[in-house]
Amino acid sequence: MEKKQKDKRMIDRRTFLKSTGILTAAAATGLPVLSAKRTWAKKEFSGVTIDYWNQINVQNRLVKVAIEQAVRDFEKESGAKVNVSWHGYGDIIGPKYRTNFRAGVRPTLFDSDMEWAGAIRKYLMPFNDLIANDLDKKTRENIQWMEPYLADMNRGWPDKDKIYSMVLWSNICNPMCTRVDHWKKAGINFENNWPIRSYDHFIEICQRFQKAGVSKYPTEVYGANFDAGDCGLPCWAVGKDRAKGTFFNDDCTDINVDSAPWMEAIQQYVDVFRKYKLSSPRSPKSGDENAAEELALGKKSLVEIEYSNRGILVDRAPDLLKNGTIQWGPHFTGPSGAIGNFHIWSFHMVRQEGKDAKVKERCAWEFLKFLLRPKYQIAVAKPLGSLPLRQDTWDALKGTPEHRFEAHIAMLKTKPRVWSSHPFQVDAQYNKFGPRISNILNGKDLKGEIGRYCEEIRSELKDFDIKEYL
Amino acid sequence: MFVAKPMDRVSTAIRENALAYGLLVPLIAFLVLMMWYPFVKGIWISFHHWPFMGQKHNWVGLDNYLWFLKSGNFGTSIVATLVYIAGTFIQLALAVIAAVAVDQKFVKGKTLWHGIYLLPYSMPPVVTGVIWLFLLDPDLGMAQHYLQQFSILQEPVYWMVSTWPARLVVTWCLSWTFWPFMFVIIYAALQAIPRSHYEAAEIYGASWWTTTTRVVLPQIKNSVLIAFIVRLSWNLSKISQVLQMTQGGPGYDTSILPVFMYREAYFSNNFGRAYAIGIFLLILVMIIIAPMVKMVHRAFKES
Repeated sequence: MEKKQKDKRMIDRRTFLKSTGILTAAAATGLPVLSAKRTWAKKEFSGVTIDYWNQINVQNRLVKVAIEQAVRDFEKESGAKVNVSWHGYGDIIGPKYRTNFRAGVRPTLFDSDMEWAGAIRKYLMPFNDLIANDLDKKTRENIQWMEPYLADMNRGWPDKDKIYSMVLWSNICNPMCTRVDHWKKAGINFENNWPIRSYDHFIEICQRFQKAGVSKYPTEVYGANFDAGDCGLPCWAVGKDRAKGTFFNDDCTDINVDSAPWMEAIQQYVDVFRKYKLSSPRSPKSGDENAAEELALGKKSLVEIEYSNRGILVDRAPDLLKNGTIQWGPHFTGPSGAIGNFHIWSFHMVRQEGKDAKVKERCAWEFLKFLLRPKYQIAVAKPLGSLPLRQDTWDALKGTPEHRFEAHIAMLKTKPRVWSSHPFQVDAQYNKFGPRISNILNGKDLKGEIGRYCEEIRSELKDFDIKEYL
Repeated sequence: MFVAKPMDRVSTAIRENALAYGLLVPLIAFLVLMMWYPFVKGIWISFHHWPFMGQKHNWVGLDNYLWFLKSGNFGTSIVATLVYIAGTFIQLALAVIAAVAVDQKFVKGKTLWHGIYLLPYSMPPVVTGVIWLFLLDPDLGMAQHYLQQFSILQEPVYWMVSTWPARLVVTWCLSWTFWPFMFVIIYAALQAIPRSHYEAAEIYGASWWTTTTRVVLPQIKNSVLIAFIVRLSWNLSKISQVLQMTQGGPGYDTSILPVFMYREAYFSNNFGRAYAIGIFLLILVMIIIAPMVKMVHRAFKES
């Protein structure tokens, strides 16, 4: 039964293999115009302008620099003009993208977390044919590891074999990040205790930091709308149960958050603040950006922060990253053995209209292929701290004193879950979940708050028809 | 006796006042298209499941209203809204005090004072929000620093974390940003009081307090009422600071009705529920404003 459900979750393997080119020969006939030829003549796109809405820059100025360089190189090589607009997460989670797309103001391509693009899926182009027919064999082999995660992301969609998100970099939420100098000050043996093994171990280490006076609040739990459902807690829930630890069930027809694994995870999370007093009074409204900043300043000792906050660490404490004083490690897990959820940074191509639509779409695809070259995969991944899609670039990124890629790969081995790109995911994960966690951190009843949350989501799901978004 | 038919009377009236009616057409068209049609459609939408990006709109009757009443957030939001509205009284108090003070004969550099007073209003609300967030920040804020330095506070206060401090901060920030609007209107009304009235009061030996309460306030009452009503209804449309400073939190504690409405419309994609909240907001505003409008009418009649 479980196997059957698991199989349902996955993209049909045959479909994916077809997409990734193993069945290329069978698919070689009748290709769309877009993917007809792939040896691109220099300056092929002279006079073509594409609009690129970028969000990946938002927490890290060095990533912005890397993207700007890649754009310049692409323009030089192709003759195209890439108009980059710098955006933030709130633009796609909030109304900006949806209202603009609906009003006809659309870019040629944009990058965002995969799960956030579900609400505007009807405007996007699938990548299946392009991946199958227009990527070289080596590239296809190196990106195939992403297959089960794409399938997991597509759960709940009737067209779950379609790939609308071209993954380029990815994060797993969330690694642990620590100050090694604090371990020494507190007299804790770093080598024996790192990475953190379990919840109890986490509490014990934080209490030792606190008792030693190294940090008043050694860690942080997050109650801010965005981070409560994104940065920490969902990782704890997946650690309890791979299937029930996600927000939605496998076909996204029900919410899981009032299940036993979730309730236990939330209770433990809240206990860090209310029972053990290891998190700051800011907790009901705090986010991981604050925690990253305080870690850099030495006010925190051990926090779970997103890789994207590496930008803050680079700004505030570059030397501590270089000399290994600040280090990353995999998050602890629970009975499920899985760690966290994949945040998959993807590119999305938007269907174009007008007489130059095809050439713009082709140019956008060429730009994505350009970013898939090992050079640019590494150039962006280095400051971003994320894992590039191309597996053959991973070795080049290992070996830094901060160990961020090693932590990432260790978490990847536990087969993390992926947040669904179901159009309701964003509302359930951020808009409705955050305030409830904030309330619980402020002392309100866990069962009551989560009960009301689930009741609200279920009432929304009752009227929800995903076909509206196709 | 000849009695004109009603239709004849209407057509005669239109013919005789064709120009006047013609001039009214653009305004009426504007009101109908830009205000009344969206308003009526909003009411219609509130009875539907109406997803922003979707095409199907199912009739759900009163479900959207009942959802909000039963969600556990209705009471929280109403309290937050009433506290937020109370900011209008703070704005009024600041504006009256400042206008009366600047209007005193002995005050020098009136233009400079006007400039200083108008400063918060001249800045975008988001900027004033950032300033106050920074001032009150428990770790970096200047206000916290001095409060602790002078031993008024032993520990920093995390204003945005608890219910009432967060409500008070957003209400204060709203008041501080928008009180100059009332100041301008009240100060203009003060300027319109003839000097002879002050001189007469002085001749009769009236004190400053008597002059203010018996001469000044009665003459600026109408302006104060109008400024208050306008400001009150505008305050309820000012959600940028709340969204920026607290995002409606902690929990839903600073989620005033318009913030809820915005979140439902643009984060939850549920226009049906958003408009239902809008109707609750409309009812609340009408309950508060109706007696004031009546007072204005009465005051105009008396004057």
